[in-house]
Amino acid sequence: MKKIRFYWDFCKKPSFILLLILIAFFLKGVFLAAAFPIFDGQDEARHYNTIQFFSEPKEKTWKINIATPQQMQARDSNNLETYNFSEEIKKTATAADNSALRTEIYNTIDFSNSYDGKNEAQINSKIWQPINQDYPPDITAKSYDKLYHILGTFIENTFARDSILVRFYLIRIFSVLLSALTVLCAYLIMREIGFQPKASLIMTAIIAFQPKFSFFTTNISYAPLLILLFTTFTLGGILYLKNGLDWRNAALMITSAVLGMFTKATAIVLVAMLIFMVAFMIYQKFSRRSKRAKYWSGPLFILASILVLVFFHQYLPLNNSKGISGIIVSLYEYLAKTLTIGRLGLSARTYWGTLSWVNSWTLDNIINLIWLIEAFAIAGLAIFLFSKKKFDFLPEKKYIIFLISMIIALQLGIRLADWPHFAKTGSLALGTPGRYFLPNLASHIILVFTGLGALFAYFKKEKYFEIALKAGLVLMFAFCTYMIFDVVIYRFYL
Amino acid sequence: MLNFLKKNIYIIIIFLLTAFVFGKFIFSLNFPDAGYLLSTDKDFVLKVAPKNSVSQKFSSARDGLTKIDFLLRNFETSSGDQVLMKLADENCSKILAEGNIEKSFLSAGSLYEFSFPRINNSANETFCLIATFEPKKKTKAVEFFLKNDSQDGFLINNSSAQQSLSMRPVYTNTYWWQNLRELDQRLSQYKPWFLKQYYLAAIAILFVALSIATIVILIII
Repeated sequence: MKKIRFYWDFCKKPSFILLLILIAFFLKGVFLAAAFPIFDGQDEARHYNTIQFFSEPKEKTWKINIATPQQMQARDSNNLETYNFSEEIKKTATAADNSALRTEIYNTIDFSNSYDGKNEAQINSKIWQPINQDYPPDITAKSYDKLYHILGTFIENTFARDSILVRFYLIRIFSVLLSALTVLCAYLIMREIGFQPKASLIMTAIIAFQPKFSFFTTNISYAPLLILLFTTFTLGGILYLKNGLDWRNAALMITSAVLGMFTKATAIVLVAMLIFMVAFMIYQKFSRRSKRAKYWSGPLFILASILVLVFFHQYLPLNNSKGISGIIVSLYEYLAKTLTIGRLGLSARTYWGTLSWVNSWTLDNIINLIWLIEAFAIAGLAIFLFSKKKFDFLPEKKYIIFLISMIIALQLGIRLADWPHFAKTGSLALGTPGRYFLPNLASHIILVFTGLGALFAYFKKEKYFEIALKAGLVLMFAFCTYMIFDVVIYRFYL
Repeated sequence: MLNFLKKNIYIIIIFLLTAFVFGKFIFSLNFPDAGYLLSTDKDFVLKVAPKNSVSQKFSSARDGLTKIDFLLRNFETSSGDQVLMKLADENCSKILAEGNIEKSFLSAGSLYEFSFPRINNSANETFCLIATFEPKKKTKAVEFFLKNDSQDGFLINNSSAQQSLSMRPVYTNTYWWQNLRELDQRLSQYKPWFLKQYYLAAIAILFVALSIATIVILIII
C-alpha cells in the first residue's frame, strides 16, 4: 500500500506530468509525420528542395538547364515533375504516386498489398541525384530567412547515404522536436505569469492537442521554428515584466527576434514588439524617478510607433499616386474585403485544422462552439482589465496586456503584409490562413482561460475555473484524436 | 451511484468520447480499390432520366466487397431524389443486394456510396451494378460521371461507347484486426524502416495510451 502511495505521489509531480505531456506530444507528432504522405505538407516539396539545394556542393559541376519564363508559367500545380526541384524529389514524387493525392480529395495513392509501396525499392536504391539541375531552383529561403533549412541540411548531410525516405521523415521528426520545445516554453510562460502548476499543466496539454498545431508542425517547413521563437520571445517578455531587465531575458528576447528574422520574415513583428518594449522600459525607468513621468508615456508611445513605421515603411504600399487619400482608400478597400464574417470564419476554420475534409456535423459546428467560448472569454477579459476586483488565481494585468499586445502585433503584421499584395494585384491571393496565427497559440489559450476565469470570479464561481480547464482538455483531446483517426487517416488511406 | 458519476464525470466523458472516436474509426475501415482513379470531367456525364436505369459490370479483385463508390454531378439526396442501387450477378439477373445511395463521409461534393453487407467470396467474380433514378421532385435526370476507358474491360450498359461509370469497389476484411493490419500496411508504404509496421503501430498505441493516461492523471490530481 505504501509503495502504491509512493508511486501515486510520484505521478502527481508536475515535472513528471509535464514529461508525460511532452512524450505524448512527441509520439503524436511522429505518428502524424508518418500519417501525412511524403511531400503532402504545405509547400513541403519546396521546403525540402531548399534543404537539398543548401546541401549541394557549392561548385556546380553538373549540367544546368535554365527554364524559360514560358516553362516556368506552364507548371502544373498537380504535378511535382514540372517544378524546378531536384531529380530525386521529382522522381520520388512520381514513384510514390504523389500526383494521385493532388487530383481529388477521394483519390489515394495506388497501394500495394504489403508493407512496402509498389515503387519503394526503386526509391530506396538511390538512383536519382539530390541536386538541382533545373534553374532557377524552386526554393523558399531566397533571402536571409534560411535558418530552418540550414538546420535541416545537418540531417540531410548526416544521412546522405540513406534513402530520401529516411532523410525526409527525419527532418519531419526534427520539426516535431522543435514543436515539443514550444509546448515546454508554453508551460514555462504559464508558470512564470502565476498560474498554479495544475492549471498550467492542463493548459499546456490543451496546446499540445490543438489539431492544427499538431498537424502543421509535423511538416518540413520553417513554421515550427518560427512558432518556437515567437514563444521564446513571449517567455523573455514575461520574464522581463516579472523580474525587470536582466541579461537573460534581454538575451532571450533579442535572440528570439534575430533568429526569427533569420527564419521567416513574419518575425519582423518581434522587432516591432522589441521597440515597444524598449520604449516601455524607458518609461518605467523614468516613472520610478518622477511622478510626472506619466506625461511622457504618450510621446514615448508615439516615438516608438514612428520608429516602427520607419522600419516598416518599405513593406507598405505608401507610394500611392493619389497621395494620402489614395492610401486611405486602398486601406479601406482592403479592410472592407477582409474584415468580413466569411473571411474571419475562414481564418478561424483553418486555425483549428482541416475541418472541411469531411461531412461532419461536429466539425461543421465546432467553430461556432469555439466562438461562443471565445465570446465569453472576451467578456471576461474586459472584466479582468477594467474592474478593480482582485483575481488571486489569475495572472497580473501586465502579463495579460503583454499577451494581448503580442496578438495585436501579429494580427497587424500579417494584415500589413497582405495589404500591399492586395494593393498591387487587387486580389486576396495571399490571404490570412489560420496557420499564420499559430505563433501566438500559447497566448491565445492563456487569454481564453484567463477570460473565463475572470468571468467565473466576477460571479463568485471560482470553482468553475478548474471545471472549465478540465472540460477544455477533454474536448481538445477528443477533437484532436477525431481529426487524426477519423479525418486525416480517412482522407489518405481509406 | 449518483455520487460516483459526479465524482468521475470527466473520466466517464473521456472514455465515452474515446470510444466514439475509435468506434467510428474501426467501423470506417473499408478499403477502396486504390487502382481506380476517380475523376470528374463535366464533358463525360451520362444523364439517366426518371425511372430509367443504367447498368455497369465490374470485376471484384478480392473477397469482402462491401461498398461501391461513384461520382454524381449536382445531385442532392436532401432534395428527396434517390438513386436505387442493385448489385446483381454477372448476368444482371440475380439480385445480391439493394439499397439507396448515400453521400460519402469525405466532403467531396460528387462522391456517393452504395453500401451492402460484406460479400465473402467476391474475389475474381464479375458483378452487375444497376442504378435506377427515383426522383421525388421534377428533377429531369441524374448525371453519372463517366471515364473514357474501362478499368476491367466492362462498358456501361454493355454499349459500344468506350465509356464506363466513374466508380470503384470497396472492400473490408472478415475481422476488425485484419482491417487494422491492412491499414498499418497502407500507412507503412513509402516510409522509412523506423516508421513502418510494428514500429508505427507501437508509436500509435503509445501515443494514445500516454495521452489518455496523462489526461486521467490531470483530472484526478
